Amino acid sequence: MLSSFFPCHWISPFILSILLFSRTFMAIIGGVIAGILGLNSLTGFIFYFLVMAMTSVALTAKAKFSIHSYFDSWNRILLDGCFGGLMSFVLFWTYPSYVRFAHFPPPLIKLSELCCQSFQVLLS
Amino acid sequence: MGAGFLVGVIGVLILSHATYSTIQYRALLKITEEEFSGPPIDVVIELIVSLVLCLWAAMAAPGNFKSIHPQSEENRVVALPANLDFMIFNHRGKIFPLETELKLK
Repeated sequence: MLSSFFPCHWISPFILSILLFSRTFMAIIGGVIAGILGLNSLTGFIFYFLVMAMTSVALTAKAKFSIHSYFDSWNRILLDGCFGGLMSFVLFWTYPSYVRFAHFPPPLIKLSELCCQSFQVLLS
Repeated sequence: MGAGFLVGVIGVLILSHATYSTIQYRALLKITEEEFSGPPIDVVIELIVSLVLCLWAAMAAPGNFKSIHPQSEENRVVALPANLDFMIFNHRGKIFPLETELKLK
């Protein structure tokens, strides 16, 4: 009788935030590792999806391999957050390449020059 | 949260050490004018170890999954209708005739 009052497959947003945390954290760590390894174009994206597959397997193991007592579908564990984490991955993947070339990218140089000039104008 | 968080901190520290080693290695390559084909083997081992530690931290730190079934052992849903303190009888429904033949289904 209780199950008629309460929806059976209601997932708490807290659990979804656990999934999101794991995905984003692993995307950031994977991005840093891909940057250190110096992976190029397609190899980096393949590496990202390998890391996400590892995360999916680990999440399945965390759910003790009984997905349907914790989630409503497999997509929650396999797909959710994969493409959101891609943005974090690319950010942390390309950041070391700026360090590698040991100079600022051109837009930042322009920006810093502009800042210096405006400071000089303000001070004079 | 404590142990998982600590493992994650250790993983990030190993990762930053690997980053520092790679920067030094690249500086060395710049002096000897060689091409970078990949970090040295000890850095790769450090990366693998930190990846495993961070994977562990990502699983352990945020918290445990809770079952979605209301009948489960670890269920935390407090059933309000089962709690007699919250039952209210003094409402406008009392002017309607009581249907004693009504069956709960």
